[in-house]
Amino acid sequence: MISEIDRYAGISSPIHRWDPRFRLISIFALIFSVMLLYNLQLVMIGMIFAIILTCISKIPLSFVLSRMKLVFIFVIPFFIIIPFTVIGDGVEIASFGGITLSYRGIEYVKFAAMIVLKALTAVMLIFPMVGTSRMDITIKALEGLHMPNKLVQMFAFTYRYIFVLDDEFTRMDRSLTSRGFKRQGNLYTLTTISKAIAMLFVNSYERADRVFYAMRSKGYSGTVATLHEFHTRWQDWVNTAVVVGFAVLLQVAATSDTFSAARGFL
Amino acid sequence: MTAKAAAMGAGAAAAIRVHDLNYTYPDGTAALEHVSFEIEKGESVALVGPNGAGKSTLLLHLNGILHSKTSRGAVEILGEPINPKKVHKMPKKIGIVFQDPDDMLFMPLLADDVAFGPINLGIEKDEVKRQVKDSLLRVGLAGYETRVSHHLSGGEKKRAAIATVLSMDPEIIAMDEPTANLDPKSREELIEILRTLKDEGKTLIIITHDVNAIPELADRVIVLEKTVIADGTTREVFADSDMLVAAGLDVPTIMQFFEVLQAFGYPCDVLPLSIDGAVKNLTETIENGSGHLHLHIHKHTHTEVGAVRGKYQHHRTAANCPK
Repeated sequence: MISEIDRYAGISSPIHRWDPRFRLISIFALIFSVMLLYNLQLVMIGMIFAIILTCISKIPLSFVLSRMKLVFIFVIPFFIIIPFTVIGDGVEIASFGGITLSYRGIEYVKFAAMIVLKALTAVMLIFPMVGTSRMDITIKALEGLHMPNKLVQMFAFTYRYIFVLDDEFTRMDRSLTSRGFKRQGNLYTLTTISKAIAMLFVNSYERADRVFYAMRSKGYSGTVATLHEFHTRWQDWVNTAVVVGFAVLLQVAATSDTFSAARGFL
Repeated sequence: MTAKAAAMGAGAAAAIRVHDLNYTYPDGTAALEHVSFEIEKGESVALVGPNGAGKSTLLLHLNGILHSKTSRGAVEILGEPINPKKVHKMPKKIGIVFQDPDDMLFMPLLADDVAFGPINLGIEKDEVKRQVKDSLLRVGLAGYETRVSHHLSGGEKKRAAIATVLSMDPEIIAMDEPTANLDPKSREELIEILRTLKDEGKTLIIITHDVNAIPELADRVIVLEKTVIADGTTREVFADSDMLVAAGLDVPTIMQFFEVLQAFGYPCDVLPLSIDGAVKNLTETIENGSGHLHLHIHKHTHTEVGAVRGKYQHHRTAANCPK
């Protein structure tokens, strides 16, 4: 079972109490700001801020880290790819086939580290951003922020159907296992799994249809149905000021000489 | 068509009026062919038919979720033809309880699911909360507001799914196999809920394979196999056992048992459909027989019993059939 990102939405913390609309905008601004950075030190500062936010939100770090593992697997190849693919006239260390390793490439490990850190920071910020309120409330907040309804619905259904897919896969997997199927490294396993995945898509599609039918039967017309109401307090503005302020500060720092991209790499 | 349905066909608006409804699946298989029937307000109708007869497909046509060019104008609910573009306006008139409650429960907490419908209907917040509480109470799930629907038992989920429809207070409630896959206690509880709804005067249309529950729940039975092959009072339809068996269906066990009793010489003109009916029937027969019930075995008894049992066993093994 995939555990839901809003699993810890029920606990109480300053981030949980922060109006979701403000929270979404502020942290989104921060993610953007970190993404635009080209300086390792600044990205590291951003990362520390992200860790602090996550800690304040009281979402268990183990939960966050277990989710980030997957992202890490995706970004780790940068450490290998980037040093070998730098185009420039550095001193060559070794060359095999078309792949050359230069001193310049070794320097670029720092650059790879920055990309990896940026990705991890962004993913980590997702937790205080959407993990601190129930998904339907987050979706309502998006609606409250006047995000186009089509996008809100796409977001809502994508989220909803992840679990439909997961449910269907769990069922299929159980039925395969109970009939003696064991995953091995042979062609039979591959064909079985690929057939199962094809069936998974058909089943999920049909199930998704039924869920949608049920929603329509209950009067769903595209707007989010939840009784939650947003109340803005002065504290929301303070939180927003702190987070957005930090995002801006990162950008201001990036333009200064001390942390310029040029000093970092070029 | 029943006399009752025919009589009101011309005048007052029926709760459900289906006239020459056709539907073909995208792969070309015909699902519904020339389906026509009318259901009056306050009627309680069981929709039976073998698997794949198009019962669920028909249900989805009743609020316009499924529709096609050929189905246009074929369905009228409370006197108004269905507009597939206004499906979200339909729940006030007709609520559908799906076969799989997991399809209906998709919000984080049960209360959110039950509130989903009324909120969509634009009902005011306090009223929604009241409706949620009330609906959960009616299905025997009072205090379940903050439960996670994923973790409920099968019986609770079925009842929860009904609550999500009750909260919209529709005039007509259509249900797809409400008593399927339930343990005897949950089944009994569910039948009780449906009976209460019936007594409240809701128009019910219930798809079911549970023939033993039909006499308690429905006044009328429609047999569907792509098209309507029988439509009449519960008694009329069950009396035509040849048609039912040909359609792969069954009559209530009690009815079969009394047919067997007839072979043993039990005097009975009208076969009882339910246990209640059986008690009444037995009481009357014994009272008429001055306190006694006379059964006997004559030379044709076992042939007759075999014939009765054989009638319903073309789709089962005849191993237990006494010859």
